Amino acid sequence: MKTLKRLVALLFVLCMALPAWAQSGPRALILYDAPPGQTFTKLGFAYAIMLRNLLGHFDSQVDMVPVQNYTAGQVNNYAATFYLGSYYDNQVPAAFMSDVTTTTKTVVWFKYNLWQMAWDSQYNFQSRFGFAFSGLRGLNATPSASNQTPGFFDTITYKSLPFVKYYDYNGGAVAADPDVGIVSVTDTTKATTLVPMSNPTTGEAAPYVVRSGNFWYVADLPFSYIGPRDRYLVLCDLLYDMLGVTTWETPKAMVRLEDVGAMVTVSSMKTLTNYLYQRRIPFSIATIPYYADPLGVYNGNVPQFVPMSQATNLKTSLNYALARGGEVVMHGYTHQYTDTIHNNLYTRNKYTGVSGDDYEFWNIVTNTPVAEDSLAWALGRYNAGLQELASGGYTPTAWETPHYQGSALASKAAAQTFAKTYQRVVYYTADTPNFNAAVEKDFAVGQIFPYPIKTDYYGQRVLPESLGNIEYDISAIDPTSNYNYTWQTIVTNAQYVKTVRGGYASFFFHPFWLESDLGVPGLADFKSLIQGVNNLGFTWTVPSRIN
Amino acid sequence: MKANKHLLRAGVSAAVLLLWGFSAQAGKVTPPPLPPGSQMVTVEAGMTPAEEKRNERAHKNKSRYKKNYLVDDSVSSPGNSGSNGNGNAKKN
Repeated sequence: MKTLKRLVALLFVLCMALPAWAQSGPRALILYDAPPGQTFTKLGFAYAIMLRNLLGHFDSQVDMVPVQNYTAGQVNNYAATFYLGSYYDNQVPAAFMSDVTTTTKTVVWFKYNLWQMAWDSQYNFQSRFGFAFSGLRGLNATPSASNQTPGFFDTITYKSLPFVKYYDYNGGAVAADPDVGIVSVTDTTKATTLVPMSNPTTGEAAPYVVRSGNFWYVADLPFSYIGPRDRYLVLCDLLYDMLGVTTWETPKAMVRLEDVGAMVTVSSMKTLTNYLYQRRIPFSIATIPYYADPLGVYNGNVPQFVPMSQATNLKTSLNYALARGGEVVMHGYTHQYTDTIHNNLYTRNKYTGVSGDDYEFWNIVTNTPVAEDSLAWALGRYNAGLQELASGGYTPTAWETPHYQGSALASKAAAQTFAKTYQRVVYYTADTPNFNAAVEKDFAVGQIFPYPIKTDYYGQRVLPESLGNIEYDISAIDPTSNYNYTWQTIVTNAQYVKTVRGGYASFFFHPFWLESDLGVPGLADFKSLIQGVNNLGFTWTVPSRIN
Repeated sequence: MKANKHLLRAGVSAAVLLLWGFSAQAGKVTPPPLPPGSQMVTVEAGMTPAEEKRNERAHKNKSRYKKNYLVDDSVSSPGNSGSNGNGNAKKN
């Protein structure tokens, strides 16, 4: 009996250890800039997290190390090493640069600080690698009121599509990441320009990605201001080559009906279900298990709560959909937040306090974790939501965080609770971040994925939502709904994600756009979007079918 | 006199240290200049502001005010304008 108990205990320990050694992809090292005592000390770590997540697609076991902690010979322990040069003139250890010149393992160098190796004669950089580094380029001129967009190398041409870099000039401040390293191939037998970039204002072109044997240089650090047509996708695709991965999925598509809760309109859900069912397209429904309007904002100032047991229209809609190719994704417990610690101070988080409107796992008003934030608190809400769903006979196939933002602990709790999540994700450089510190402040970074991530920084399996969603400017009805995002835009986004090997065209749609009082062509546009994605050759799938 | 010697020694040591420091600095590669306008640029890791707003914008559905979550509008019945599930719901 004792032996049996020991065996069971051993099996349990082995099972718990499974995620640690189950990663079977290429082992990777990420070196990042972290100069101590600076305002932006942790920015490099934020970039490292984003790259680490992408490497999670390849099931890589990843180590993230500040570059100053590099030890001689370390590159040889990894299939690939990525140095993220994010901090201008941060000192790169000589041991690393020396190893770069001798290792046979893949090394990828991003953006800054290449000059420390390329311009130091002891490394014989140009003769060794067949390309030269000549300097930095950024904005073509200092922006001014009369020249707000001086231009920069903002276009990266890849697989015949122009990928963009973001730029916004706003009253003297510029939101952009225009700096790039300028290199030129000097020996074509040693180096190749794999991807070019161009500066439309000046008409110049330069290499964006250069490869010389096992050494790669990416002129940019493509983790800033990312979007569905951003140059970030170029890196997402090139990672296959950098890691030597030669297999990938055929292009897949996913559609999710969003924010479906107790107040759903049955006819809208039936209409969408019928259309998808007729087209034999599987789909998911982001379901809010428990409806809460604690302030009575939509109920004449009378608080209203609708559990699953009373949510007749929701259950009718789900039952109809589940019989026709639909499946449930759990989208929050209540998709709103009630502050139980500060006497309901933050119950509007930040709009109405009503399910579907507000954040649940992040205090967006203070931009901090909520007062109750803890693993136990998040687990409690997840389990409460699961119980609500179970009371209606539903089992979710994935989790989606409301408004795609939860705390670090909430994401870690999601990893413990759900086998799959289906979303974009916000990551933090600390579990309790301090965004306002004068020194070594923290960062929050939102990330879009073009393909599934087997394990992300928080341990979550993440299925992608890569394209966005149809929006209409209905500011006359809701002042915060004040822009259009068309089905054509989303189909174009799908063209871009298709350049990524194993890319998913994944989007969502709010059924409420079918309601006639909004006066928008919701159904027609939804059909056009489905058809447009279909025409691009994607195969439709749902979370339950993704391993 | 002794004190002066100490001062001299300290001065020489400082000069040697300075020279050593200078020579060490001279071994460092001079970085390329930053491009024009760099001081105006703010770099943010992660999504564009437009994508960040997409996470929460237009998720509010004002038409659900005082909505009856028990009445199935897809079923035609007296007093229920309804819908057959093939088109947009009719609102009262």
